[in-house]
Amino acid sequence: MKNIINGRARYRHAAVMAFAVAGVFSLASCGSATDSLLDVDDPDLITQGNINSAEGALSLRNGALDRFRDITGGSESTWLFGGLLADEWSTSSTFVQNDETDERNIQLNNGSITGFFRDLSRVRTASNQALQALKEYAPTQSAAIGEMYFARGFAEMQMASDFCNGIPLSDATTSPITYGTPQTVQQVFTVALASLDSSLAANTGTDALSVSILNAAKVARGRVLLGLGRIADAGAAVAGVPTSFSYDHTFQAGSGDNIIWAQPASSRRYTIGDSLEGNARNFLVKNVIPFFSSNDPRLPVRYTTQNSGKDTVKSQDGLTYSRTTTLYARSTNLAVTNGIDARLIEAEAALKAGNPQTMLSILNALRAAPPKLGEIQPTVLPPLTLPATMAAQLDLLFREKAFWTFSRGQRLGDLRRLIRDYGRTEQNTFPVGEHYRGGNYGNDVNLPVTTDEMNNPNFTGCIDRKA
Amino acid sequence: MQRTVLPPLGSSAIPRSILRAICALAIVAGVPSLVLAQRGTIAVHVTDKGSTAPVAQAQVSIVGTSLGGLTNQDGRLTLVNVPTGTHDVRIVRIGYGEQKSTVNVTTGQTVNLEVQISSVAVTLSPVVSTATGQQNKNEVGNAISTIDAAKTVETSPVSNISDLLNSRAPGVQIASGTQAGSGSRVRIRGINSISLSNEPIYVIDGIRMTSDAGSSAFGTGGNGASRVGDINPEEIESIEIVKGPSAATLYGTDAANGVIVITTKRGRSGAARWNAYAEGGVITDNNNYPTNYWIWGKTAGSTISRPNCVLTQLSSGACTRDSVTTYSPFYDPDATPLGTGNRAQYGLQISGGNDVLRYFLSGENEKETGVLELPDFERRRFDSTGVPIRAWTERPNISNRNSFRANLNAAINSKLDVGVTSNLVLVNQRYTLESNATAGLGSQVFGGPGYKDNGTVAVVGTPLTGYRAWTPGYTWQEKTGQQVTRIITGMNVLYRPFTWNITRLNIGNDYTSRIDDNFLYRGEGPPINSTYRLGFKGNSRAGIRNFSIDAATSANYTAASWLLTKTTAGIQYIQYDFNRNLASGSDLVPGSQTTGGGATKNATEASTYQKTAGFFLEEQLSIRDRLFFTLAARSDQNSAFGTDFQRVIYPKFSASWVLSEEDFFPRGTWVDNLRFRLAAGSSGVQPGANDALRYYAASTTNIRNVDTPSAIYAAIGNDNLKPERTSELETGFDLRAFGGRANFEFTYYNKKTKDALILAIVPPSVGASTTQASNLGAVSNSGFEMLVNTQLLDRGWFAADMTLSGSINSNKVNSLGDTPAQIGTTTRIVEGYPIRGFWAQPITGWEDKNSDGILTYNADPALNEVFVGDSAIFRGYNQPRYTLAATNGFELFNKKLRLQSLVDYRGGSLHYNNTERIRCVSRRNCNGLVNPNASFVEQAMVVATLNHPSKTLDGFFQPGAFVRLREISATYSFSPRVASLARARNASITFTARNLGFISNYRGTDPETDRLASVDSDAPDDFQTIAPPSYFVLRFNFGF
Repeated sequence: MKNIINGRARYRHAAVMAFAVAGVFSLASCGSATDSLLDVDDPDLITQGNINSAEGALSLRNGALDRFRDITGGSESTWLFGGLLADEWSTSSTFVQNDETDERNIQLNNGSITGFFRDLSRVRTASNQALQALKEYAPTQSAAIGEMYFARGFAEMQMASDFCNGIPLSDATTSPITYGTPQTVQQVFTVALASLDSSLAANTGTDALSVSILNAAKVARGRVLLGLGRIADAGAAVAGVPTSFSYDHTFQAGSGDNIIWAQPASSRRYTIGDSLEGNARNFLVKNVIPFFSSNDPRLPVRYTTQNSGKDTVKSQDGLTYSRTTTLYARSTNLAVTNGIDARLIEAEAALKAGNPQTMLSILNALRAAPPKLGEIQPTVLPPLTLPATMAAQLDLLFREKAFWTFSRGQRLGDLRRLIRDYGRTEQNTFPVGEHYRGGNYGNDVNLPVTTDEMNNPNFTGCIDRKA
Repeated sequence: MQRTVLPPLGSSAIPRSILRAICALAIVAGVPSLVLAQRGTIAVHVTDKGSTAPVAQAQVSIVGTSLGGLTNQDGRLTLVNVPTGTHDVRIVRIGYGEQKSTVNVTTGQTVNLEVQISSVAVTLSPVVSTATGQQNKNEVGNAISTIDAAKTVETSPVSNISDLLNSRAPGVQIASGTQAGSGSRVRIRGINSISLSNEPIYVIDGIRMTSDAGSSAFGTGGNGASRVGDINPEEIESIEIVKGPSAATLYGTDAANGVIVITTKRGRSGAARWNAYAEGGVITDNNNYPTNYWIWGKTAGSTISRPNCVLTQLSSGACTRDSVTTYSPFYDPDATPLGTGNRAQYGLQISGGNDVLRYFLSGENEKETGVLELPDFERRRFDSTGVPIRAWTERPNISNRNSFRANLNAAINSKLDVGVTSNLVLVNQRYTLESNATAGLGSQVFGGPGYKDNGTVAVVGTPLTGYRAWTPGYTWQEKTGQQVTRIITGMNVLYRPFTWNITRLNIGNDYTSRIDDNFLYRGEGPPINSTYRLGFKGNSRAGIRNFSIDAATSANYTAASWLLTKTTAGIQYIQYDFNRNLASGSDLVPGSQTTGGGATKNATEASTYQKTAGFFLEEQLSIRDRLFFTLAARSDQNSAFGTDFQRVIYPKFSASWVLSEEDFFPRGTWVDNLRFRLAAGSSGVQPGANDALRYYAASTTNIRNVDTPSAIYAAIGNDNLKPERTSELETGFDLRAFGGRANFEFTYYNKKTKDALILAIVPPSVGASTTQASNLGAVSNSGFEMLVNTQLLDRGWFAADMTLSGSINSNKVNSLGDTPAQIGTTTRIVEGYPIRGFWAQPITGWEDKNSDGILTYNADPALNEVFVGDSAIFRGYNQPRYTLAATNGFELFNKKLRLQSLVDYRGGSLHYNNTERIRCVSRRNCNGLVNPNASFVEQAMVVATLNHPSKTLDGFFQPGAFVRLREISATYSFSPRVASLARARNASITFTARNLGFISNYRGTDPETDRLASVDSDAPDDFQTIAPPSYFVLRFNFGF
């Protein structure tokens, strides 16, 4: 090829290069042009700026109450899984997470329990966010502020009741996030007590809502004091709370079903606990209350049957006969705290104080005029007689409590307290024996803080798995 | 966050911004308006050296200029305004060897150039598509795979683009969904990203194509629709696969996983050519599904024989065996949910035009009915109860696609070419709920007991007939369907104002209107819970738009007789919009089919907007037309970047050396052509559209019996979020030898991804979102690819050819940025190990100590018979590392009959037999749990996961390697005389078959069974999934 280097060509190439580079870089540096070209406005999102107002603060309060509902009956929660680990429910699902909890052999990667702990923590975070906003934009909303402290304290109490020693309480309202260090159950109960004290202090109104929240906080505070072993203080804390009182979580079809109904009765993934399991194969489970066989009016139970009324329906696992209760329906209110709780706390305080007759009087008063439970109005129950021994009296109290509070997130904590405060052992308190799905029950007495929490730089695992 | 509301395209704001960019580019292109030199003309005539017949569609180019074009039907092309002087004219065409001639152009004269080109045995594309336009393959420093789609669809069982890609390019792995119409997972050179998509992007005729995986508002529990599946393979001329960041740099942010470049067919000048084709065939399921076992026995103290004892209970004495029964609905002709599917396709294509205007028109209908079919016993049930059998109940999986295309190419003048592409696709498809769907078929058909007379369906009381909890008729009363109307339009402009300059502009819009439908009449469907059979209707209407502008200008310059340069500057703008409204109603009025008929109604809205603006500059040097260097950089901004991160720059370098062109290279040897190549470059993947933002979401909750709006803390956000950045070094060589009878390509690559986005698990105690996107990780992929094409024999009456392609990939997480390993139930992301490798406490052995033939676990080491390691260890990759595909062709009777097979090996990975896991753990019907004749291996894996405290899943991670006879085909081309009987120019008949069998040590049904293949997941999962079916198709092609 002929050598054609010449001045014109050299000029041409230089010009092209210069203009090309200049053009591209001028475009690249046109910040305003590309910025506007890249603007997006996603209507799905609500930014912090959108909620910096009194209405915004109340919407955050509503969001916190939404989260609060998730830890009771708005979503699957420890109110069901605690009952699986204890004796209220037996597994009848196809989920290993449920099975291993029922078998008391929980793996540290149990995704369901991870979610429950996150849900409990979300109540804390959402309450704290709402409290910041309410104090800044709606400081006169004392009931709302009190309710947020109550929600936070209740979540902390539920954590301490259900989870192992070593519960981290992080704070997502700080920037950067403050990661919690593992706290013992007793420490977390103490934190819960402070939250509930704040609720009582902040909630100064006298209207019906304020009073309801006040009573709710008092009962929760009583339960926290039970957890701390301050049983006499617990009895005092709930004094004056009417037996008819109830702070409820509510449900409608459009905004979510009552999960305590949906999972066991509708989806047949949990079946009412009993001392004989395995359908007709009769595997004996020791220590448990035979919730199904007892036919107690406070817990009406039945085998689910076909539309024809014949043949027993099997559960979601396709194997286990479905044992359900009519205690709850699709939109039945769920008592978070109520006056029955208050009376039962007083009964325990009386027993602890050496007044078993007072305890018996309280229990029999409830049996004589049973408050409505969920969908049912129990018939009058015959009065109880007082057993001779302290141990038997304690059994009686906790059995009565188990029926009055069925699947309301108290049974697991009570079994743990029997070990912690009353000298029982795991082997004579929790379900033991051969599990009907094969193998034996394990040794778990609480829910673990699971593997996902290892992403917390201050957390390395449960301190221990003791009661 | 800015609150600017962007007006829709067509209003003033966008065009202003875009026009500003286009104008700037036009200035770049137009500024050097230099004085025209003296001109002449070259008239090229290309003929076949052997037959002397004219060669159409040969690409003619004048080296070092923008001048060039395609020859017409007569093999002629006239190039005008050619500068005077000496020029090299290059002629390339697929199927022929490259030819280069030197001509001397004088002012006002026409040079007649007669060129004869020789056919070669191995046909490879001589040009490839790059981000800066079409380039001679020799100039590109990367290995770019090209698939001759037009030829492949005529001779292979191809239903969709995935079938076109599968096993035809080294380093490209395809895993396909098993329902008709479902999409595929495409992975090129391994997995780059821990948390973002690893799917490549798609460019069709120069514009960005929507390729969303799992594209439906309603999941199936497994595989489902993909927007890639909308594209009709029959309309495609070729597919090029740009594999790594070193080649994809100029495609910008989002291209790090590779680019699939699709070129559709174009008109050819000449009289109208009609091509008609029709195919039809059957689809069958020839898989071996597991058998259900059941032990009948007596428990202690009982005299009644009851079902559902397991081996360990026999061993412990908790149960005494009476009998063992086996059953599976799959093998019961009356109960099987598997029937014979079918496939039909009819299409007509017209191509023609003249030197000024060429056209390609196409229309096609394709219908495929999957293998799932209502069993006979269900038909009788419906008939006896008077319940109508709806179309979706009878055949729950159907895909019906109509596709129309019109491509026009106009040579406006010698300087301006304009192409317009338009494609209308109408899809109507429905899928069955499968695999992981609660209402799906899988848990029922795999989960039943070892006998048929197993009672009745809960609540409704009809016979179970060996299914677990309900029968297929109930599952298939629920309809999950989709209707798609998709319009892809594009305009391609090539402007050559000067011989040294070419400017191209591609503008395109890919718009999809998608209607998803989920419906169940009241009183129908499975009794999952108390409300399911109250009926529901979900109706989702989504608009998906991908708008792209891609413009570039190139200037050629002959700096010296031995040095040519080409400078290219370009811009690109991509806008992805997704808008969806979903209305639902449940608790329907009897007979109602609308959301309004529901007692409980709900409506939601979802939007995703993402925009990218990029600029690039590229300099290419050609030294003596045999040594080529490319240096380039691209800069991008993207709407998903964090507010504290503004711009990313991706550099690129490549070199290509055609060693065999050098004077010192020995001539006359067996080597025809030898080229070395080297490339290095970077590209990225953008974060999710809202990953950078801290925000709340609206929710409704019920407070004190009142539904109340609320704000939920939804995402933590990350102001520093930036794209993942993957850098790659690639090197290799291409060798053509033995007179063009053999071609060998070898490539080594090494990719490193830094700033890898990790959806870091937020500790649950924080009480916020479950994850937060952060640029924390580093990942590496390295490996080898090779491709061999050979014409083994060509004796006229008999010819044989073979193509071998293979690849090896090593994947490793280099860093997780001081975050803990991500530990899942089966897979983990751990530094030093492959992404999402399988981890488990290993089963180290077993011993039947009491010689009862049954393995059991016992806490007492002296009695324990199954041994498990103390801690979890890495067990293997979850996707194949090694691939080898062999395509063998034999041609008989003077090439009238071609027989072809494709055999495929994949290995180096484990496959999760999650079907057997749940059968053992939950359904209690599996071999290792219940069958007294089960091997110790199978018993051990069950005992280890059910009874051992470790609950290890180790035994269910099973060898995933296989050798598969993926395709066979036989094509007979009729002689022109026979074809003329049908008034056709040519005619052929092809029999093809796909998925004919495999060899594997996998214990499940098929190691390619994967419920997540089409939902952009990197966790393959054989979970209660129907395995891949087999296709047998007969096809007729006629040319008029």
